[in-house]
Amino acid sequence: MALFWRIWFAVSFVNLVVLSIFVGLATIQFGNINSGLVGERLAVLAERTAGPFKAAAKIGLPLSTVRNAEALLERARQTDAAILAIHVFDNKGRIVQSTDKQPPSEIPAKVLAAHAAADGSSWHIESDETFLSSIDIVARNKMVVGGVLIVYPKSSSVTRIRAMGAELALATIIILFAGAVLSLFLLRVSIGKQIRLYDSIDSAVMKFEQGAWRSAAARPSLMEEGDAEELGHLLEAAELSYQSAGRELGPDQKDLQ
Amino acid sequence: MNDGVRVMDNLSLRSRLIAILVAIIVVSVMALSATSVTAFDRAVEPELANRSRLIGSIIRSEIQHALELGIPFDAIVGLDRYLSETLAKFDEVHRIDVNSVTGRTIASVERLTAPEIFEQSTLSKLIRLREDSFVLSILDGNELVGDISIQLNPLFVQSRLRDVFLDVLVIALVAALVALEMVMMLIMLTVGKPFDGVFLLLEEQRQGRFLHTIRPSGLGSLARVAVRLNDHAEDLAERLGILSNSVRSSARGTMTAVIAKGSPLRIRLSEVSDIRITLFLFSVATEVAVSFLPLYAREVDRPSWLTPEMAAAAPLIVYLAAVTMITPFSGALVRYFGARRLFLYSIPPAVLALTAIGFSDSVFGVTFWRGVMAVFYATATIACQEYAIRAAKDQESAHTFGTFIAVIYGGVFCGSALGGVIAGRFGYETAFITGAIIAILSGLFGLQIMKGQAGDPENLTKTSVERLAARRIFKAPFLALLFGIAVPMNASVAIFIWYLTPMILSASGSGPAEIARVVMLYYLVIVLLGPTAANVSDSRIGPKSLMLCGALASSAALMSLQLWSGFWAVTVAVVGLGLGHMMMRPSLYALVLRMMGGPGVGLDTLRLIERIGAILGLAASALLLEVRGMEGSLLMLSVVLVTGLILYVTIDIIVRYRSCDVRSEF
Repeated sequence: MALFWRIWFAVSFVNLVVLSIFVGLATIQFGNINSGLVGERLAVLAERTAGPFKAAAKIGLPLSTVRNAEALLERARQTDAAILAIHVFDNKGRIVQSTDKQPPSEIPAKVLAAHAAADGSSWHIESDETFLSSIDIVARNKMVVGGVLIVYPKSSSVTRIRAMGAELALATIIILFAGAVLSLFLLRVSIGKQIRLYDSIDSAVMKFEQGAWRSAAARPSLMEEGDAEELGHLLEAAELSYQSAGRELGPDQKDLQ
Repeated sequence: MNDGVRVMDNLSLRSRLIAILVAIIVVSVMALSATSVTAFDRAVEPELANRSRLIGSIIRSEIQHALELGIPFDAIVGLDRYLSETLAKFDEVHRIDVNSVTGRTIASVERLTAPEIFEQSTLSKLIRLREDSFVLSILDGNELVGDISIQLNPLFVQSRLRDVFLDVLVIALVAALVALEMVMMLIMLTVGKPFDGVFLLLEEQRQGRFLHTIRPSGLGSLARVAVRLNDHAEDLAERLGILSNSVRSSARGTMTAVIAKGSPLRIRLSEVSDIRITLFLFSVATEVAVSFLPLYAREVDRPSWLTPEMAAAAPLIVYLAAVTMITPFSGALVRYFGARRLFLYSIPPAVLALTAIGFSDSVFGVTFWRGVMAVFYATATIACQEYAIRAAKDQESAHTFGTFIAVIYGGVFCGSALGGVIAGRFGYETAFITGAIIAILSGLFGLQIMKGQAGDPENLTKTSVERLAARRIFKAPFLALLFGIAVPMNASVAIFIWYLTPMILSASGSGPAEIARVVMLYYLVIVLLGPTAANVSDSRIGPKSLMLCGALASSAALMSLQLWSGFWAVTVAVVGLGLGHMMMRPSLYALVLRMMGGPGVGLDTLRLIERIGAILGLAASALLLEVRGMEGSLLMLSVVLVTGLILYVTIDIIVRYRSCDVRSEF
């Protein structure tokens, strides 16, 4: 039965590894989906917020001169209480309008690089603690004169991802347990014959070994059934062949030395 | 060995264990997939609702803005047009109604959509969200003048969930393929090899030959039996060794038993399965970038004269060129170094190249390191292939190639899916580092498992069979096989799977994720059904018939695109081509081995021609697309496939006819 339990353990272990890989990938994928959805929502808001600034840029006005800019940004910020800040920046990355009372002088280099690569379309990236979503402000001559950047906290998203990981991990434990029970049943039904065969082979080997250390009278019979009997005969034939070769070699010189 | 013992040895226990393990894992993964989809469903719903609510509030504020300017509610000019524009912009909105406080409809727009196939499926019923709608009041100062009713498009939510479901399905497939490889390794290490080794020694020693030992391994008594049988051989060899020369010579002359001179030789058994986990992991590692490398190459620094499109294509072009250049030499390299050493030597540079691509900040860096990786990818995979051919009991069996192709394509499938998921979440660098770690893991497995004699170096001096094979590569049957079957097959992969499918699907509105899933179907068909096709090839049906069936199927798949078009037409053609190539690839390799009498120059030539076929295919697709357009290119490709098939069949018939004539003359 040792073989049976080892096989059962191996089956359960492989299942554990596979389900762990699945949970890891599924959690990562949920993170991707979640950040994509948040990014898309913020992009909608950024596009809406950028409207008046685009209108100003199209008639050649600098972004810093848009009337009621603070109110426009604040109104957009109030659509979601979680928004940390909304900045309007020029094409050099300098922040010209913001909902923040003390905004940084310019947007981070990472954002500027993403802004340069975006080629006029909306985009979003993630930093360690925030989602950053932005859209370019394009002037009449199709020159990008700046952009609107929304800074959104990542904490709730991280919590959601962790909750998803925990939920899937819990489901994995339950499924793993059910799988272990099912495999116990399937292994018994499906390879029971093989296990019995293996046990008989094990027993044939044991009897063969016992034969070597017991006296001739107490030597167990090698009679098993089928394969085990065949193995027993093979073992005995190999042993006889070995003894015969040993006799042909003469007394063991190692012992004589 | 007796048939009864063979029952225990491998097939029965091994196949039953594989069946049970795969069944348990498939059931577990499916259960977890269902849990994941419902959990995802619940988790994304609030975020989707937030977005839709935001859109509603934007529309409302626009209307209120008009009211603030003094425009009467029922006289806002262009309200219908504005609502239509909004509807067109946001896919998730199905209907917008603007009603007065008395209930009169001021403006109303609705999206007209045909129900999708997904909408009608059972799956959609399982994960269907409720149909949400929002009603937002409109104020004019302190007066309630009406409301906006926004009805969300349930198809949009369903399409999002369909994407989620398909993502989960891909992950489940990756997990199942990893499981299959782990199962195969486990079975081989615990049951297959120990049994084979013990029975081999028993049989030898029963016949009086004490020349070999094996590594004691396996469960229960097997390891003890191995120790005992090893001791027989070692003891006799030692006893023979300490005899004086004259006594030893006379003993050797008179003895019936054959005893090892010096220490008995340790037999290192080889199995085709030895390469499975190693090759699979290596393939996963090197293919992590497949799904995003063009994007990555386009994003890094490039000189002003290099267009973004060229920058994106450069790594693929250099990759194919490097693989093509190293391919003719790799067979000789395997024979010189041995498959095991060549594989292990390929790991460090591949790891270095993967890491370096991740940290390259210019298109030249990315392209150069991709080229380096291609060279060692070619040496490593060909080392594994040669190992498998030598380990196979029947070298001309298509089974070896079926296994090899299934493992390689399984790796491509898992690598691209894994790379896409990791790069999406943690960035490109992390995906490359993950690839490098998996490559190291593959090297460690190779170090431990590819110890069989099939991995040893071979004599480079050409045998008469090899000299004969070298002459045969210029004979008509072999050339017909190469140019009538192998080149069109590989060209069709490059043209249709790599190039035209993304172009056609993109033009019909599919996103990158959807395109990737359709392309993956080609590989998935080969991974899942390839081993079965190899067994069919080894049966009475034979490789030639199967290969011809495959060629017909792939031609039919491409020709079907002349009859219908669109997403499903392309998907069916991709699956059809996969089915065709699943039948062709192992049969083609088996036929080449039969023609050449074993691996060597014939196989090297086939590999080279395959690569050249792929490059020609890519070049032709770029040219044809400009001249003939997509439909014309597909028609040309179908014609090439059919012409190749006719060429091969004609030459085969002529050669058979002539050989019959020659025989009848004698």
